[in-house]
Amino acid sequence: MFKLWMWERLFSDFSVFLLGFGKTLLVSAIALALTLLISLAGGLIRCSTSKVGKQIIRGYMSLFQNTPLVVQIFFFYYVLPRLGVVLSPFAVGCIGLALYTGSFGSAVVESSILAIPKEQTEASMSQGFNYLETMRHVVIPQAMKIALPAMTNQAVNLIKNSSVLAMIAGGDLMYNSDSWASGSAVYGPTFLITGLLYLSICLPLSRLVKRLEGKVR
Amino acid sequence: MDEAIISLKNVTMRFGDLQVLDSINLDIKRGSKTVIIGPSGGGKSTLLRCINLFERPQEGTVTVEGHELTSKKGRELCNIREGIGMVFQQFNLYPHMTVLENLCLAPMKLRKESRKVAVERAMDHLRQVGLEEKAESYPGQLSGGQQQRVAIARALCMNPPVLLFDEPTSALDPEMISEVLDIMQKVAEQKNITMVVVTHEMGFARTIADRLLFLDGGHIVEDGTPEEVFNNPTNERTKQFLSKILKSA
Repeated sequence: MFKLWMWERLFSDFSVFLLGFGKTLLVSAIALALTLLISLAGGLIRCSTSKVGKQIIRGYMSLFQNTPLVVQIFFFYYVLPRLGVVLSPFAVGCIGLALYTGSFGSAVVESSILAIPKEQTEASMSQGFNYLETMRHVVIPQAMKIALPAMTNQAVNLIKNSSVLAMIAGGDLMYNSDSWASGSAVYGPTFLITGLLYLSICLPLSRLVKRLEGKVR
Repeated sequence: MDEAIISLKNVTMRFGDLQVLDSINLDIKRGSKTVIIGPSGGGKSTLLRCINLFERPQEGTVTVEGHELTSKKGRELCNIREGIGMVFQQFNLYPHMTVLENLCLAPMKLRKESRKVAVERAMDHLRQVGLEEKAESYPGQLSGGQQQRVAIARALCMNPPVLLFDEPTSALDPEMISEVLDIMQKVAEQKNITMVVVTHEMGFARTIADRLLFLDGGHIVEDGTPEEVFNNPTNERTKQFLSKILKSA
């Protein structure tokens, strides 16, 4: 299984892996940016006084947290076209991952905002700031520190979860590895290297989470 | 000088079944120093918090500087609050900002002052409270007394005509109380600032107040100069309260 020719073959085609890895990083980066926006908006609405807004976000969170990511991705890729919305695998990856991770991120942002004592809001309101200004200048900067470790954790999950794109021919690392392995019958080295590539991104991020958690305490 | 800067009419506040304020009528003169005392649960803090509408009364009106707050909402209410400074029991400084940033935030963001102008005034006020050298420190690096002095400086940076103090020394270690009271005394010497102070510091009340209110059960049961209230309380409840407090002091 771990014969020399396998490794020679793998490294001669290594650009296939790098290409997939690049795509994985790109999808992850875009999805992460969208996740942050969704989480911030979701968390803020969850903490607002709008009853309708709260219910909508609650429904979104329940739905996306409690269905498998693969089902969501398949829905976007196979079902939406029947409703006239055709998205490329790349777009499905970005949007699908962002909506899925954002449903958890919204909960992280919500609990981080709630962790800031209400006295901070009162101090700011007593100076003449309104709700949004108070959030922007006083509450969110403090809540971000609390949210950072959990959000970084979500980023790690997002990168790993991007491998579901392989199931809709997403051209990501997992997809390219799988295709190449089927073509060459070199399985062991392929998935060892694939795992190491994911590890090279996720492990440093996880370490960062540990460091950040220490700082918050 | 005799006009009322703060005027409460029939202010009634209930939390559920609990009547906290029972149709309070109160006029506070511009530039006056009013101290509110009374047993806990008597409605002192709630009354204070009605003045900047942190508590919205179920009945009655609150008027500050000619603006009826009780009919205001949103941005209009915020604009009026700019002129009503508040100092809290727990200081409530912004922990993620330096002392200087704490002082400059509202003037720069709300009044659109330049950094230079805001910093200059902030440093002036820090000098007044004797904490010039702490400008770059974070609140967490300061003692409770120092934090409260910064909080007073922060309130002063907006030049508020009205300054509310909600038990400003209750959360402090005994040896830090006097440094805060000294600063409050200095503020009280400024004739254009109207101060309303909820406190348990009777000595302080005696020295700075020109008017003392005793609040119990949601009613103002005593209203006079400190001498009148301390020496000749008319109400039985006040007598008991004062004898207990003064004995323990």
